[in-house]
Amino acid sequence: MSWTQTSQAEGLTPEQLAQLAALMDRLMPGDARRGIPSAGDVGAASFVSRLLGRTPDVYRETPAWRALYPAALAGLDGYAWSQFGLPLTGLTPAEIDGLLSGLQVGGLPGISTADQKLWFKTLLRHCYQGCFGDPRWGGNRGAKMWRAIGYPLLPATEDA
Amino acid sequence: MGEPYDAIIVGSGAGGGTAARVLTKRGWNVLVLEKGGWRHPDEFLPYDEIHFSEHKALIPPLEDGNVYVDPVDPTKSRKVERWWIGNLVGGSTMLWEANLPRYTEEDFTLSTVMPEKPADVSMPDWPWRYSDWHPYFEMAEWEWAVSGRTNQSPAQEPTRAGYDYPMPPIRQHASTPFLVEAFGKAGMKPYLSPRGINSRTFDGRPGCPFCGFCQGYGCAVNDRSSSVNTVLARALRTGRCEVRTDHYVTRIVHERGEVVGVEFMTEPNGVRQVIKASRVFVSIQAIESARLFLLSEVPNLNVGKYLTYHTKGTAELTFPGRTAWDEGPEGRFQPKTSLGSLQLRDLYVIRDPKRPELTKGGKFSIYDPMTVAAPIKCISRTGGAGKLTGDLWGADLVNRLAELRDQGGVQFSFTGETMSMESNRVELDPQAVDPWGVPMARVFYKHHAYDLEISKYCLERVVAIMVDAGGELRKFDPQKVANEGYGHNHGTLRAGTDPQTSVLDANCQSHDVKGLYVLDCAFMPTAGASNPTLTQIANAIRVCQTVPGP
Repeated sequence: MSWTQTSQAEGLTPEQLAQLAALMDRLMPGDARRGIPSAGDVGAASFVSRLLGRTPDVYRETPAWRALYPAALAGLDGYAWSQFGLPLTGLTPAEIDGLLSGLQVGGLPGISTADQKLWFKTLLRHCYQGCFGDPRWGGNRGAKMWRAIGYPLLPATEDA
Repeated sequence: MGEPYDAIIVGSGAGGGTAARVLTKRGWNVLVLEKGGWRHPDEFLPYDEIHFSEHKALIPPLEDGNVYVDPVDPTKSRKVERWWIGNLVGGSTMLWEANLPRYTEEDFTLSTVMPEKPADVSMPDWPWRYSDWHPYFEMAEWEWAVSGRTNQSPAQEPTRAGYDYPMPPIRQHASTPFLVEAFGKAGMKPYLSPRGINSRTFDGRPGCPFCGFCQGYGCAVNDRSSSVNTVLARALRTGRCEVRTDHYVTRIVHERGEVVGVEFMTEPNGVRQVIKASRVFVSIQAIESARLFLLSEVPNLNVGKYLTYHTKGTAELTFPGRTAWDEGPEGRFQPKTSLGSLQLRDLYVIRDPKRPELTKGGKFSIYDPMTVAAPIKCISRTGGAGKLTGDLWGADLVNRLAELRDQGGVQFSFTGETMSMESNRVELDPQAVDPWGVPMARVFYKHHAYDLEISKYCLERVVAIMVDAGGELRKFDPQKVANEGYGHNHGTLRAGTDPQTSVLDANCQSHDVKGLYVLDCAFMPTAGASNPTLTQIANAIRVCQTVPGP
């Protein structure tokens, strides 16, 4: 069964991975004081990269996501350059929060509203999956997020 | 008749499995045709939310969906997933959470509680009385291994004196004493849910260890009842039941008003073959059975009409200052009794002088939002302070996670009465076909204003009680007008005594094709206001105990 195999193939370039990590860290910023890790602490962006690197039979939408992520990340990087004269990875947390707020309601200039809403929805869903899914999928590193929220499941073994 | 089978049963889920059990007990030889294949409990491991739930491993794909017509702009339609269908032996009973209440007189004889109905609805009384169905409900609860306890609450379903479920209820959630007290102050009495979940070893299967992977998942422990581990298992042990998998029934074959057999395929666009029998029992869920009747050209103008879902609604609250219901080791672990939920049936009938137009209400299932679902689903559907609609991110997400971890919480899931309307219906789509080349169901559905009001009203009632008990609202999601599909689907082949207004007779036999019976919820003249499957099972027992032999 393909879904039980652990794929190490990456679907994102290192640059795309850094862009996605910057976005995900604001979707799930965590709070060290309260013992809640951030998306970056648990590798949620790596989860997406591994997901896109898997064979399409893992899930029917995988091919669509393979096209969506490069387009979305390039689009948002372009937005960052046009608005701030900086790459996406150079924005401050507050600037990324503003970008995400605009994306959620489809309000960023220069990108179609439908695309923005779809991008936001996909990013957020994958952020949840990368934070709270089983570590075998490449996110929730060390099951840190499960421990942080008191979820008692232990990670499935890699070769189950 | 010369045919090897006394009956063909289409579908191996709640209705089909029960039919196989009752008919083989009567000495019939039956053939069960199932579209999917066998799945065994160890195939539901490892516990993996991403694979089974997020990647939807156990439900038909979108390309095998329904076409839903936009209720606001009927020129628009789109394909929707049928997440309530399980194409595997046992059907959706392999994926359910086995919430198994009874419908009662308030559902069977609606006119007693709802004498005045909105003008544009069709809400007939059922042609039976609840009091006549006690033996069928009792057999259903024992055959399907339902845990529960009668007489916990005056609002609970009435049962016969001395009767009880085969097992006690599953262990109560740690929030139960608090919730019972809070509702008690408001004159209401929630009670422990009847569930097709073993509370202890029963019928050769273990008690539930509360893994938390319930609704939407296969039961890896095999403690949750299904057609496969209850009725179908017993039917197979008689030697008079044969199950054929990968058999997709595409047509009921009938001649001169009598059923002759069924036509089926075993692969997409495969050869259509026929198996003959003089009795055919269909139980494939209401939208699918209507689709099959339409494909089979059963001559009755009511086929597909009066589709009903249930009126839904969800609310979540958190209790500041109240620690998580069971802190566990290190104060960081939630209790693992997710589905040992309370049921609240005190709003089944509304008698509020301020809202005289609201009469029939519904039932709540009460859960702990943190333990009723695995984490991704929990986070995806919760809301936050000032963000009651959800999609939490940033500080809103972090704050809500801290609340879910540190504070007691509660979630209410409403199942309410639904107005039946002729315009809510199933047709065959003129263009779209499924992967087998068979026309898809084209579904029209729009909730009546009454549904929207009753959902909001009942949610507001329970929220007010919880706020009085110190709760703060985090999610408020009453029923909306559009409904693109729901796990409880009923009414497309209504049973009744008049062939002009119904498709099935009072024994759930087609008025128009003798020997053709329907045992899913399509028979239900109105939706009722509880999870429907136990009532569906009771009806299947009733029909199959008395259906004339070949």
